[in-house]
Amino acid sequence: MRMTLRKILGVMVTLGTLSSFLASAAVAGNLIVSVSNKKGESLENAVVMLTPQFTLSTPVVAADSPEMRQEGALFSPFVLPVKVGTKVSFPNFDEFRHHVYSFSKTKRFELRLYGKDETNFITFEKPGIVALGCNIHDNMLSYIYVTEAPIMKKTDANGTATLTDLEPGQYKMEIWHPGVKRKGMPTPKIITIADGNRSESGQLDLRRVWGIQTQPAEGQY
Amino acid sequence: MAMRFQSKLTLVYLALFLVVQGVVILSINRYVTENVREQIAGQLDASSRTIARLIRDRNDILGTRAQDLSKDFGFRQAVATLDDATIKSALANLIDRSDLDIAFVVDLDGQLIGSVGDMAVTDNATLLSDELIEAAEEQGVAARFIESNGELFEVVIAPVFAPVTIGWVGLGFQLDREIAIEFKELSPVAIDVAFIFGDKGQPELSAATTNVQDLAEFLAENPQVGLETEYESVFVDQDYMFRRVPLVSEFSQGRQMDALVYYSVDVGLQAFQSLIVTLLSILVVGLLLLILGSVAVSRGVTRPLRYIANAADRISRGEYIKVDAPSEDIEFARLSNSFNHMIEGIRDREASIRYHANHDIDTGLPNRNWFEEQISPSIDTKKPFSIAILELQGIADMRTVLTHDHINELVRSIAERLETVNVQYLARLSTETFVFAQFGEDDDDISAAMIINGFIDPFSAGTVMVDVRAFMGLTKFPADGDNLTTLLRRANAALDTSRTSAKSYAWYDRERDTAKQDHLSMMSDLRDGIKNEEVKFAYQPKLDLSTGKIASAEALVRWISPTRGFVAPDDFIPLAEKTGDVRYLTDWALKEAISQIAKWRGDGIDIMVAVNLSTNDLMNTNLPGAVLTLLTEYSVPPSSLKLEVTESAVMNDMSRALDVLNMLSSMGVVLSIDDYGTGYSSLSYIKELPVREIKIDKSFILKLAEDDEDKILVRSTIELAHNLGMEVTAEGVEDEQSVDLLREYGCDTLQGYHICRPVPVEEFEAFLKSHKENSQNI
Repeated sequence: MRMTLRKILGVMVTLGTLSSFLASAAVAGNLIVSVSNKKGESLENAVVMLTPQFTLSTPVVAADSPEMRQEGALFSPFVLPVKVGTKVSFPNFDEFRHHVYSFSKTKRFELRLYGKDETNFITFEKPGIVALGCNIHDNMLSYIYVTEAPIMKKTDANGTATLTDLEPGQYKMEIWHPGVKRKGMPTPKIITIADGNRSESGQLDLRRVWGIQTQPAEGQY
Repeated sequence: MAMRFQSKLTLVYLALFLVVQGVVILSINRYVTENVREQIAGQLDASSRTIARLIRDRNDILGTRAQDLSKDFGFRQAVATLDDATIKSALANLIDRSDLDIAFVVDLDGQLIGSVGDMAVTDNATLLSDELIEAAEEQGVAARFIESNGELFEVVIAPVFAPVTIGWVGLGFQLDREIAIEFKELSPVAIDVAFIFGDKGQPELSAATTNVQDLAEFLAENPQVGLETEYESVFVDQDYMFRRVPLVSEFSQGRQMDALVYYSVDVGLQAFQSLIVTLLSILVVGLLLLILGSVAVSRGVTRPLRYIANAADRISRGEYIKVDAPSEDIEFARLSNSFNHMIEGIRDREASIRYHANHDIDTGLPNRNWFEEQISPSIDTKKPFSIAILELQGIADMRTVLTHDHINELVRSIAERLETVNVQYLARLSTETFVFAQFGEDDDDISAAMIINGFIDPFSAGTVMVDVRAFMGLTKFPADGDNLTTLLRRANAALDTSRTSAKSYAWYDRERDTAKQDHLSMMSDLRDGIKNEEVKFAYQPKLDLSTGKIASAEALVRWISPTRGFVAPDDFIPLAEKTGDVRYLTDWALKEAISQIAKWRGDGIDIMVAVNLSTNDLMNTNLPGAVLTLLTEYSVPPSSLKLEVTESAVMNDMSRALDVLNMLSSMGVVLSIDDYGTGYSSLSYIKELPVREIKIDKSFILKLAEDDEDKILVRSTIELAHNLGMEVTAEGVEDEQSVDLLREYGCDTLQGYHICRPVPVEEFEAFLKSHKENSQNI
């Protein structure tokens, strides 16, 4: 526990330094966030969320009907961050049926056995994590992260999320990852965005084992 | 210890058999034991592996069950929705299906969502460790053995995905006796299985296929079982091998949990006991057969040996019976053959020895030994017979003219002639004597005369004819003796007699023999008598005619024996001369006479004493020395001693007698010829002797007055003696006329009863005194 606290403290200090730098910028700024685990390895699929602490001059428009595809006995994407109230579509591109379900408290649902080119829609009204599985294909797993934050971005394969055209000002920055320890979520931090690029980095304390989607066994499906 | 050959042979066979069989049985036993031990060890190792495998399989199955359950959509839904009733029913269903003891579901915080089965375990905090959960997270399923209140469980947990992990489903079963038995039954050999746990090296028992109490006690006493992978010790009085199969990481945090596999070596060996019993049976049967067989074989050997031994015993008893081969075996045939050769050899040699023992080597005639053997039966049966000893005369002399062989031939021819007479058992007794026996009713004297007459004709000895004279002594059995020794001795006595017999043979005369015996004892008495002073001198005075005085005396021996009374000198002196005992008498006489002379001289009596010497004394050249010693000792002048010798004594060996007499004479001792006239009476040789005097024998003097011949002889002898310078003493003067005649003839000295009989010394002294007075009176 002591180790963990120190790391968290380190993240906080770093974030503090970043916000003071961003505050001096004007017009529009970019935020580049690098996320790594405690070993310093870049983390893909981490969700960086910004909640402006002021009223945006131009409200952010939420993406319409983002897809959670079922393709090749895999969910795609693996992590899908959505704003509260978003209706997500679940298109099936496979030749076979899927039985998508969620027992997560955030949103419990079941899409019983639907076939190719069938699309179901689910609207996520509450913020939180929704773990998705397929009752037919145990290897399939994906996460829909429902958040109140208007701005969100997943880190790429390099563990970097670049958020552009940010209106200068103060933002609450949060980071989530499906593998993060349940009680290891970093405390949301206020940062200031100014003109120009700003870099942030964050380290997450991950569970040793966490649910990832594995490729279906070859020839199985 | 003396042991029969047969027994020895049997024992050797037995020992060999026992050694070989013992080695075989021991080898087999050792091989079997090692083999069994190896098999058991192998079996235990295999069982250990099997149990490890069984446990792993069970884990896998349990894991699969748990995973299957955790993936069941309905179950996931129930867990996700915390539908207790559904969860419990699902768990109960699984337990029933899978023969489990525990099933439970916990959430990610370890809070029990639902459980079925042993609550005591599921409530226990040790049920789910962080380590177990981590292992399950990593591997999708994880199994652990746990201990709870002395009971061992295996617990398998798997995550419940929905689709991410929302909790854990756990399944478990108890490692109880049931499981142990199941393991045991799955093993090809009836090994035993136990489950132990506890602090390192201090195992406690949880369950076992065998008696729990026994094994618990054993574990308490043998804590090494918990440390060693392989262990062997005595358990419930049997040799047990143990294998320990760790169920958890060994001794982590100082704890252990193991399955124990064990098996009795003794039980393993039981299968082979029948083999050992069979082998022992073979051994016993073999032993019996061997004993019987070896007894039979050794009998086959010893029976002939005993047979030969009996034959040897017979030989030792002198029974030379030929031995038949006791067996058909070549060895025994040869042995009996050799034996028979030996018997023949012994028989021949014995015959030879017996022949030599019974025969004279020179002549081949039987000897005394043979004669004894022949005559013994007759003595034993009291059959009357006579024994004769026949002595050949002159055989020794013949050796100068005849060779040894001729003499032997002579003896043989004499024997041949003797055998033509009716003699039995003729044997050569010595070189010159034969012995033989005669049986029968014939007149003994005729028979004896016939034998002697047989010697009238000469005998052939080689080329010459020899005259042989023989004497023969005869005895009669049983009259003359009841044993052969006596008979032969008495035959010899008779032989002695025969030599002086005109018949040339003599029968044994018991009386004569008795007298002879008496003579021998008389000499013995005489020797004692001399010592005991039974023998004394009587002195007979001699009258000197020229002076009319008694100037000398003759000392005469008188013996009065306490047992025999008065013994006449004629009875014992000739005998003493014959036996040689006379020398004791002479020694005594000389000493007695000389000491008496000395005594008288001391009393003023000057008397010459005459002592008689025997033939033996004259042969004794030491005599003069002895006389001189005595004279010197008693200081007696030699002239006081007169020694009288007989003609015959001198004539016996004149030269030697002369030596002695000359020495005595030169010493000054007076010598006198006694009993003159009874022998050769030749003055011509007497003159050669150094004698002073002759004594005319009393046979000439006693009737001198009446006999004219005697007068002439005495007168002429006196004259002749005087002419030769010798004095003359007349003995046996018993009347006055003789005295007058002798005085007339010129005789020098007179001795006889007319003067005085021989008297003891006191009387003699008295006589001397009275005679002195009388002569003075005249």
